[in-house]
Amino acid sequence: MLSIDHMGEYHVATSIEDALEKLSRCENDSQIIAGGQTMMLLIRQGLINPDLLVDISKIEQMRGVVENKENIRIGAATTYSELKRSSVIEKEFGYYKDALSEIAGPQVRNQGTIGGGLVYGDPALDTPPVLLTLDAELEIQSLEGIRRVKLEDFFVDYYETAIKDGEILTGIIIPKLPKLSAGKYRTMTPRHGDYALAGVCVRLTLNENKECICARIGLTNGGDIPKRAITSEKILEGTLMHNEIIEDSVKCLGDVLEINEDIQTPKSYREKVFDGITRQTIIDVRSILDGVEQ
Amino acid sequence: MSGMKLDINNKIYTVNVSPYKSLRDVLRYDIGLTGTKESCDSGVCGVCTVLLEKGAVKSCLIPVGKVIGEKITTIEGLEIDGELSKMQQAFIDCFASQCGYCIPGFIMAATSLLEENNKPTIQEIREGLSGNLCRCTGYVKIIDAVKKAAESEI
Repeated sequence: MLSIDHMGEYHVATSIEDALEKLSRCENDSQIIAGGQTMMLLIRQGLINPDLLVDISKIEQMRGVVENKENIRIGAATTYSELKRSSVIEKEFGYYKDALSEIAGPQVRNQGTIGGGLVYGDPALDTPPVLLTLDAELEIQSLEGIRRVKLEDFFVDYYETAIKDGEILTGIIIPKLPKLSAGKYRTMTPRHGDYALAGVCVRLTLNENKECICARIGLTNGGDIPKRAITSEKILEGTLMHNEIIEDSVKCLGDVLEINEDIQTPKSYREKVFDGITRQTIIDVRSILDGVEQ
Repeated sequence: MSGMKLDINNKIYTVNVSPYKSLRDVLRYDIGLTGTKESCDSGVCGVCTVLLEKGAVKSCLIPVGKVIGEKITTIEGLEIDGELSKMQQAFIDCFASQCGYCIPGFIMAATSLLEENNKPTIQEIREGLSGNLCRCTGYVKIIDAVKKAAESEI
C-alpha cells in the first residue's frame, strides 16, 4: 500500500514522439500506461513502483480502427469497447467479437486497450489467440523508427514479449481475410468474466472446391505464451476436413500444449478440455462455411 | 503532484496527492464523496463504479493522474436539485436492494448502459451489469429496476 502514495510523475503524452522523448529522458524507472487496468493492480500490489508513468491513451494516432484496401489498422490504444462497437471489425472478422465479450466486464472494456493486453503478454488473455488466427502484425515505434513484428514472433516467454525499453506498440495491422473465411472463439471459463481455463480460436479459409486452403488455430492458456497449434493446422490444410481429419488434427494439440498442474485442475483434465473445444470449434467453423453461398 | 484539479459532478476540486493514487481513494478519503464504495480492490466487484466521458469505469483501477480535466460523475452527482435520477428512483420502486452496499456501483453501471442503449433487452441488461457483483438480491430485482428505468426513459 505504500507505493500508492509514491509521488511519481504522471505524464499524459500528446503524441507518440512526445511519449518516446519523455521516456528517453527519464533516468529512473519508467512505465507506459494505456488503460491502466493491469498497471494499477501491479502498482497497488507493490510489484512495480515507477518514478514516471507515461500515459499513451490519449494519443490520436494510436486510436481507432482504419480500413484500407488490403488491411485494417487498429491503434494500440483503442479500447475493447471501441473495438466491440466497430463496424469494420464486425464486417471483416466478426468472430473477434466473441473474444471481446469474454473480457472481464463493461467497465474494464471501457478502459482496457488492445495494445495493453498484448504487451502484458499474459497467456490467459482472450484476444491474442484471435489475433494469431488473423496473422496480425505489430507496429512498434522507437526514436530510431518503426519496425514490424509478426504477432506469432512477439510472445517470447511467460509475460515476456519482444518489445524493448524505449519502444511503444503503436498499432496492430490485420490483413483482410480472403473470401470463404470464417472463425470462432470458444472458451471453458469457470465463471463469466474470469480467465479461461482453456480457450481456442479457429479460422478456416476454403477454396471453391471446399478444400481448406488455410487453417489457423490459436490457444488461450495452453502454455507460457499465446500460441498457434501449427501441426494441427497443417493437417487440416489441403483437405475437405472430414471428421477423421479433424480427429487427427486434434490429436496433434499435444505437440504444443504445455500445461502446468494446478491445484484446481489437473493437467489431464485441461488437455481433455482443449481436445473437446478444439474439435467442436473446427466443426462449428466448417458448418458456418458450409452455409456460405459461393 | 500538487494542485491537481478534478471535475467531479460539475464541481472543481483541487487535491494534493500522488497521481498514482486510485480515483476511488481520492474520492473517498481526500474529497469525502463516500457514495463510491470500496470492496475487492482488484477490479472485480464493481462497487467503485463511476462515470467518465467514455462510460462507466471501476475507479479502483484508475490512477487519478489519468482523469485530470475529464468530467467525472459519481453516485452523488445523479441527483439534480433534490430529485433522484430515474435509475435511482427505479431501484427504490423495485426494492432492488438488500444490504445496499453494491447498489451505487450497480446504479452507475446501469446509468452508463442506458446512455449507450436506451432500450436494452433483458440479456443486454445482464451483460451490461456483468462487471458488478451483489451477494444478497440474486439480481432479479436489480434487473427489474433497470428495465423499469429504461421503460420510463421512453
